[in-house]
Amino acid sequence: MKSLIRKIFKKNFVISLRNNLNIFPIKINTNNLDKNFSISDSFTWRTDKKFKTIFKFKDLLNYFYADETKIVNLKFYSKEGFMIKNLKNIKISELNSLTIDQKFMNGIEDYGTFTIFHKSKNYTPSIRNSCYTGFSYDNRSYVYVHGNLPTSAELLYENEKKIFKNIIGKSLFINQFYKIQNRFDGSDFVELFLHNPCNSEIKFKIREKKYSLSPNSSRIIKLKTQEITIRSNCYLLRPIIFNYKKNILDVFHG
Amino acid sequence: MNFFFGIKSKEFDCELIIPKFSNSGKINKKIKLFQANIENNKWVIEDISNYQEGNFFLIKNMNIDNHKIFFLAKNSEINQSNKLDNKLKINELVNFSSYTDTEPDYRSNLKIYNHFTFSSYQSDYPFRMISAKGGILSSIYPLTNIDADINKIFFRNIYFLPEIKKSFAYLIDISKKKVIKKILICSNTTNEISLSKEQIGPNIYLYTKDIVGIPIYVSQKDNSLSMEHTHPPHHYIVGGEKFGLVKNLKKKFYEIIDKENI
Repeated sequence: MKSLIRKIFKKNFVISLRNNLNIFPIKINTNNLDKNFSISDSFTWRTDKKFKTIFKFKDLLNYFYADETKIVNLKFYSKEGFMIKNLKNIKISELNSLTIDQKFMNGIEDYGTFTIFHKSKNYTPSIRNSCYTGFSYDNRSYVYVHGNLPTSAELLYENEKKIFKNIIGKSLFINQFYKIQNRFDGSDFVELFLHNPCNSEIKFKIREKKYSLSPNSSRIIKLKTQEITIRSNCYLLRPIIFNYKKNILDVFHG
Repeated sequence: MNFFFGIKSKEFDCELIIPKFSNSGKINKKIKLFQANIENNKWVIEDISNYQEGNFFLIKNMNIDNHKIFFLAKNSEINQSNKLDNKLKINELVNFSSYTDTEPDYRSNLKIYNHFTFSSYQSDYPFRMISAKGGILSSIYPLTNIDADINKIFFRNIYFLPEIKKSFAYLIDISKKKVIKKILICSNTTNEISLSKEQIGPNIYLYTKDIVGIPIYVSQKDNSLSMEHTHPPHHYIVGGEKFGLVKNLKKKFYEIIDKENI
């Protein structure tokens, strides 16, 4: 009986109900994704202002399973959430670095997110790419952050048949608080990079100002404040923080 | 429960900002900041809650070394029975308080800085790691910069027993199956490892066989400073088989040091 209840509790529609009503919510749902999936964090790219981005990643399938396929798909999204660059069947090495500047983005001076999916015909436990992005500001050397949240998944052996996106949960109500555990009193200003990892629109408030983000879209919010709280209906709306002080850039995950 | 720590280095000063509030914004006015240090084979626990500014505890560079650790708890959660001279002396670290058991993790801001620049990351050392056995494996390549003026790894271990035990870390070139550097490290210490340009490459890994910890990578070029930690290998695998897979992976590295008898 207990195991039956446990099974029912883990059904996707029950999880959705639990999340919507904030009853034992599942913030990160990777149920049914534990085999044969390539899961990706949502990584930030910036080519706006004086930025360029670098992505350093490992061939995880080769590293863990000696898989020789060495192929990935990379999908780049605009800040509005539209796919603007789709790189398929890219041959990779064991360790790789990809520079994302205006030239790479076909002249686009903006920001958004990207995902990476490893490909193979072999059957393995799923992998999660949570590697490293670096941000160069004003032609200085890169400041790195690791991936933070798994947001989407593709089957290892099927090419773009289906992208699973409902990993991060959301609630019906704006009842989730995320207060960044740092203070910014010495900063010139702070930019919060926020991304909607959910399948539907999310809403949030910062200092009583209301915002919304459509699925897969992202937004940079500039603030000058000592403490920052984000109130939202997304369970893990955790920003990347770009902290500026006397022309020095510090980047870290919230 | 989470512990927090600092970095003491010739090249950088350090500041640790520990919020009194959780990431859901909740705050307990009774929460105190404690420091734990090893003296005469005991953990000596001291209330240092006077290091506070508003909603934060602030530990400045002069109060940081490579051994002290910090944690949050209520007075009532600390066993007062062994208290002597305002200090508590205990034989091992225990799970003093659940105040920092949050999801996402309860974190401090660990900042390093010098005359030119600064960098920080949201840092914690989870209680579950302080009694963990085994070692670590970390790829050098992603967070180092061969063109930088300074490349360092700060490898932090916290162990529950009050001992500073010697061990070794190894830089291993996996393609050549060769140890390129053997480094003396200690438990309950933030160990500083300087990397030369020759020690930076896509095939080079930091490996320890019998001491766990967090490898924090720092690189500085001019006035740009980067500080970030790598994830343990099992972070990249989803599902129950991850620990067996990682054990097999680490075995390859162990065999290299075993073969070279290092």
